[in-house]
Amino acid sequence: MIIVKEKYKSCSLNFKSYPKYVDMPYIRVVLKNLQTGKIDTVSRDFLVDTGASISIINNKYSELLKETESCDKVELIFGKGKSQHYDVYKVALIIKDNVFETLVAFVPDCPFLLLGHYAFLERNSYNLFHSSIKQTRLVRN
Amino acid sequence: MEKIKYTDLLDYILLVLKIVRDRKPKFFVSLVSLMRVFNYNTSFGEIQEIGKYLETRGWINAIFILGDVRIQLTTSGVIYIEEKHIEIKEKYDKFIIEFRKEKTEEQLLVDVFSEQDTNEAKKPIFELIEKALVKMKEKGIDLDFTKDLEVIKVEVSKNFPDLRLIGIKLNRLASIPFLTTEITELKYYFSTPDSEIFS
Repeated sequence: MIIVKEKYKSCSLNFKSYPKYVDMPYIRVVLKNLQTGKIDTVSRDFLVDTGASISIINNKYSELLKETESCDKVELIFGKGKSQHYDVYKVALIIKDNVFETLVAFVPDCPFLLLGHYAFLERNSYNLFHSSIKQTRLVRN
Repeated sequence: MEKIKYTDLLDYILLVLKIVRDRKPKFFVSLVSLMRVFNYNTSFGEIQEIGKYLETRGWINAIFILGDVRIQLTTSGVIYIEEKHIEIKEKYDKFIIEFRKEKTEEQLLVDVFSEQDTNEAKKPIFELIEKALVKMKEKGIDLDFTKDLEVIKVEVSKNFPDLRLIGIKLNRLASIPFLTTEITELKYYFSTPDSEIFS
């Protein structure tokens, strides 16, 4: 059984009256390109987003995915309702020494890095958001 | 002299941690001190990044404190080092000879073991605040901003500083153009992996 535990991260919300803070379920990830075997040399925070149908990476990974062929395309619709097709890549997410093979959509201008349901959250037995202790727990049997 | 390569640096850190673990299994090494031992001149932000990266790979346990990152090798880290040992050790030995001619490996380890205490780790933060205060006095800046910096100074001197309060004050101070360097560096010191309190 694999259990990944990570503390929430405090983020500022710029209210007009005064800055407020909210704790968010981020998980630190190192990405591996499964086609080239190349592993990123920096780790990045991904938001665990139960509203995302698929995990999303952005331009920060353009170097790692260079000269890699996408394995498919996926149509995604964002908040404003406009749909577009994006490349999909086979990658591994390295999280605290655990390796999760998955598929991610490459959305170059997306401001966030997201962990979504398809081939990631759906494969876990539980995805727990323990808000009282501000901790995310991903459990996979 | 050429600066040590980032990828090599990561391996050297792990190698030193392995040597430390063999001698003192429970000891946490100060990453800030280790960077000094390696003569690796960098910002505190990058030191934190290194800690986060090695932790995410599962090779180290890391404790992020104000002004320092304390690290210790995990079992996965030991396996990684043992598998790559010959390759890394050769490069490491070359590096030691080239960069620290005046010191033996034993002496370098003495530097690593001389643990940096928490107050010592805060020293560069106070220095940055003082630098900013001097600049503000020279430019005759609004008194409220000076008071904000003094509040930060008092908070840092506490055992458990209020990071959110410091975050609010630093975000306000970020609007002063001639303090950009100092404020950016200060933000690195107060942003731990658990918090991103700066806009």
